[in-house]
Amino acid sequence: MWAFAASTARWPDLADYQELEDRQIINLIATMDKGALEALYGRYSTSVYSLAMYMLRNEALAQEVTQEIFLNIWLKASSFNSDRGEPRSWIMSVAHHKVVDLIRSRRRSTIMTDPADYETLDLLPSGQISTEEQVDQNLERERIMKAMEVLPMAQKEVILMAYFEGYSQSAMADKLGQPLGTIKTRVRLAMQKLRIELERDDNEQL
Amino acid sequence: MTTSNSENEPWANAHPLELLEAYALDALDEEESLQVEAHLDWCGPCSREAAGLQESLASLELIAERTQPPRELQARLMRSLESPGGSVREQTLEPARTLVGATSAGSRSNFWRPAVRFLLPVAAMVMVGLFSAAMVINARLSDRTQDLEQQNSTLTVQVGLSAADNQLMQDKLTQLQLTSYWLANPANEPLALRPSQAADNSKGVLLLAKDGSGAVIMVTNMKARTLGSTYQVYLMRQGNRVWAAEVKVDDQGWGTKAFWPKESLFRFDKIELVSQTAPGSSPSPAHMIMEANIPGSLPSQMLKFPAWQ
Repeated sequence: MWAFAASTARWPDLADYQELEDRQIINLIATMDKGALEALYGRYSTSVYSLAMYMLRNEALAQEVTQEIFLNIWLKASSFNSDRGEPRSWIMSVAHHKVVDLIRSRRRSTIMTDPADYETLDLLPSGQISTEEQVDQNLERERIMKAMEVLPMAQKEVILMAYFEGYSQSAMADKLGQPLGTIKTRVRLAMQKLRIELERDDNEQL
Repeated sequence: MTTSNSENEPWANAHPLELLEAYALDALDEEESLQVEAHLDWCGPCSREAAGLQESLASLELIAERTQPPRELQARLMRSLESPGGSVREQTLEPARTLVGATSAGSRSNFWRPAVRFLLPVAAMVMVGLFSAAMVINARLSDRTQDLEQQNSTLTVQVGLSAADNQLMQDKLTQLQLTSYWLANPANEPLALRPSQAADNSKGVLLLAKDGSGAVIMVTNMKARTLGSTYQVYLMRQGNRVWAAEVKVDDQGWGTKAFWPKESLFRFDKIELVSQTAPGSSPSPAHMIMEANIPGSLPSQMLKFPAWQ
């Protein structure tokens, strides 16, 4: 059926995709529109690849997992429900889940474990990104860092360990020598507080 | 999974609200994560809550230093969609999963897939081999069992025959002892039996106790009989026939039997030896072998052997 559709329909030009919203592009991907996947790749490949590189610290693995992430998006596009979330959060959720899967299978000693490392991140932008984008991203980054700073150290620690290092709650409990219940409570409180801080920041910006 | 149950569906488990934060953070173990996903498939409120949490977390990726992927990665991605043959869905994920070796259930199955591909035919061959060996062993055991059953059956028959033979010999010995005793007792008198049919060479002697309380019947020249052939002894009185004893005859035609009727033998007027008749049934004339009239008292009609005279 898709093959028939592909042979008879007029595919949008690349310029057409630029006009479309993310959710529309995802809907086109669900119809096996390769052009739509290319368009989505153009919008999110940097975010996905940056996250993969940051978490994996390995170019080959980051490339492979990035390819796999977009292939998953290609396959799972029909399951995207715009009523239940923004396209960006869905894409990054798929990406994060894949990278965490990989990390858990290849627990590497080189991954940072000290949350203080995240506070001294190199904020210098990549030379391949435009100045305007760099400014926007730096502002957004500072906003996130500011929200993270509000969290108590113990809560920030579990968020960073889970999100960037792929630790599960039980693995964190083992690594930190804390009861699992304590870790679960920290995760819940940290997430709730982070959400409140980010939403408050959004409202202030509006 | 606990907490609120606002939708009241009878099939709905409690909403996993306490797990949603960790789920959005990908911090659950695989089993818990699958449970939450199964719940989110049908629960709108929880699904929206999880999406909200994921939205907050999506911002965290901005912490990561911006790095653009190499240009060839996009070309590689698009080429993987155009893999020749089969559906795109089956072709594309394979290389990445193989290299990445992720820990999800699907990835684990990919990890084991090469081993399974190798082991399955080996396991099948081993199973076929074991099955064939079992069949051969079973066939041999069946043959051996059959042989043993046949041997057992033969031995059982032989033992039975031997036991019958032994019993016959024992009976014969007992009868001979009794006969010897009776013959040695001078108070006993012999009575000759005559063949019922003239052509019959059968001979017999009835050795009577003086008081008529018992007797020994001895027969010889009986027709060649199979081992264990039997004859019935009847006592006649006024046309009535009373069964008295059964005489076994060996393959040489010899037989002897001591018997003690309930009444004195002198109350009967005739003794008959018949063949092929079960005790209690009336013999036909063709079955009559030998007979003798019993005297009312001794010794007027007794047989006198020449050697004893």
